[in-house]
Amino acid sequence: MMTRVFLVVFTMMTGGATYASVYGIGGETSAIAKSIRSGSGGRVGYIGGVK
Amino acid sequence: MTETQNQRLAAINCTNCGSALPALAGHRAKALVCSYCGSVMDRHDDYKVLARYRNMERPYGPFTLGMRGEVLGVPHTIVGIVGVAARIWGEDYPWTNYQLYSPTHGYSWLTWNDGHLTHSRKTREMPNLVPNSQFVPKSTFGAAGRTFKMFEQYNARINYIEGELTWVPKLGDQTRVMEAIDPPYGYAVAMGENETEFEMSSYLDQQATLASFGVEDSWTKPFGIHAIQPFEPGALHTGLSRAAMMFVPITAAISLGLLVLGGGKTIAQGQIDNPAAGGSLAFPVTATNRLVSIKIKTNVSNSWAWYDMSLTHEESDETIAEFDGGVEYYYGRDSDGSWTEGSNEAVFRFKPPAKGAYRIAVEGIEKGSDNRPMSIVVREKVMLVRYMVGMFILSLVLAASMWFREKQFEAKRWGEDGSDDDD
Amino acid sequence: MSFDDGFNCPNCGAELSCKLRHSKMVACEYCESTVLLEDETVRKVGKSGVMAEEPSLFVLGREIIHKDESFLPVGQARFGYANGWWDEFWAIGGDGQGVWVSVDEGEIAIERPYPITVTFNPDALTVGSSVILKDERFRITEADTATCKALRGEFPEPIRIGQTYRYWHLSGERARIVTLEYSDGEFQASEGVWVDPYLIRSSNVAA
Repeated sequence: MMTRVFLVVFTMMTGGATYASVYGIGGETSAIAKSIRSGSGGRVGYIGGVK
Repeated sequence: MTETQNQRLAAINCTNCGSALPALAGHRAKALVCSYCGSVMDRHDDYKVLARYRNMERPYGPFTLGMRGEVLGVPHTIVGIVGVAARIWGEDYPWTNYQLYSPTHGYSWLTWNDGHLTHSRKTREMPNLVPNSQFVPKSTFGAAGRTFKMFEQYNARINYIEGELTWVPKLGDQTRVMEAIDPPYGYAVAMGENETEFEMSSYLDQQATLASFGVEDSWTKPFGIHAIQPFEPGALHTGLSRAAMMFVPITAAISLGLLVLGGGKTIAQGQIDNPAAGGSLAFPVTATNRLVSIKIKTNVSNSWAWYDMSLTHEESDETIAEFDGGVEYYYGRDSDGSWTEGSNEAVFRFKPPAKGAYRIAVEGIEKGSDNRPMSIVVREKVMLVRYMVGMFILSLVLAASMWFREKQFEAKRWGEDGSDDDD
Repeated sequence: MSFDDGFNCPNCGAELSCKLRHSKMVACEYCESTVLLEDETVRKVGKSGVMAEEPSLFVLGREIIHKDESFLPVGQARFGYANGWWDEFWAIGGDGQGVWVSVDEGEIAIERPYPITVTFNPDALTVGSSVILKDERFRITEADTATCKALRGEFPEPIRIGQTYRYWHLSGERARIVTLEYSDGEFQASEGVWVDPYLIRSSNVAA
């Protein structure tokens, strides 16, 4: 009985881990994530010249 | 036969002191020891007094004569009490044996030892041992269809007797005992002066057994690990580790798969020759909700390069992020040999909010940066392996925890855990 | 006349039946007569006595199982000895053969007939002495005199209430037992094993 319960829990966790791995949930690099959260994102403008 | 029936209901008066003693056992019990005056009487010879032991101190234990309860699914009555002590490495270890009687199953023992309860009975299934073979710890032999491991040997000495017993005991009688185990079962060879007896024992659930005999719950819980106590980790740990064991190969396989196939597809690559002057690279994103990775590489050597960068969605002209990042790489040689530190690569990932063209741009470099050419590779539909590796490690740790716990339990059982006393 | 089809008690007329083809004696459950079955006739030979109910793993007509072997007790003979009493059950084994199961407060032995040709001096058979039978070494672990007290069911041989005989238990290696019986100047033997009561499956455990 307990085994079955934990099997379900583990299946969900493994499924979650698979989904996160494939779809990169929380996969942003901290530098970019921080930048987005700190509000610098959304600044309009074209930066730098094309190589 | 009517005599035995009457005896079962009646009390017997001690032929020495006249005290009323419960008559509980069947006809095969040979002795009756008075609870009050310590007289040993012969049940097969008109309760003739054979010996008398004064001032015996009743050993510690939860049972008294006449208690009834179930052991191994069979109703038994406590008919006798025998206090025993073993001397092992110069120290006395006491325990209490209760003589059990069942009209259908005969005579056996319930043993109270450090709060542990075990049941043992005489067996005629002798071990396949060479007679008088040496006691070698952990060596094995077969008996009663099981394989037992030799556990310990000791001299057991009787220091208390009371009630009805299957033999005529003498206080101070000694038996040499060799104990072997196959938890939750045990096998003992008891070598008395005149004969050798063989015993099979089983580890009992203490609480269930006490409850069955109607004993109050206030008795001490078992302490230490009994020789034949089975390793019982409990349903939670068992279920968890069993489930984890199944997921070790699954998570390992998925991790490997992600490692091989998770790299994604290169959608752009380029080079910024003079990062100090700025530069950028555009790339077309075809899938949202899938990670895009931007890898920068600068061949710094015992130096560093740090860039101010921005990420823009070209179609909406919206800046997704402004961030800084870079590389540093040092190497050298010291007394420990050669060393390196850092890497000349850095990866940034993001989840594109929309499809279409994006641009990664270097806006400038931090003062002191090594201004070498920087190469950029952008890949999309990148899959991360780290979560699955996390699951793999978690599964592995949980599965292995059971193994470690059992190892520890066994080390404690065999007194190999480094502590002299596991009480 | 065939005993297989059932027959009537010569004393009270009640219907008797035999479960075992080679049964030689049946106790009538109505009039306490014991009935001897001879070639074509039935004959009352004695009384069956009073069998007091005692807790037992073995009950007539109820199958018990020991180590995957089943036994169906069909006859119960109670014997008295110096310190008490024990029961001998005549039972049908899984192979259809009859066995004797002796039951004395959890000391249980299952035995089959053991033809022996040697003879002994009964007075020389003392507890503790060694006996060699067919190259097998035994030690005498019990010697006593028994008297038949009560009978129920059917038996492979005539047994009489009050019949007295001497018996010896010879114990060998690995739970082996041979029982010697001496009555009317004749030795009879049976061989088998001591059985662990805790390994017997019976619907009567909590009796």
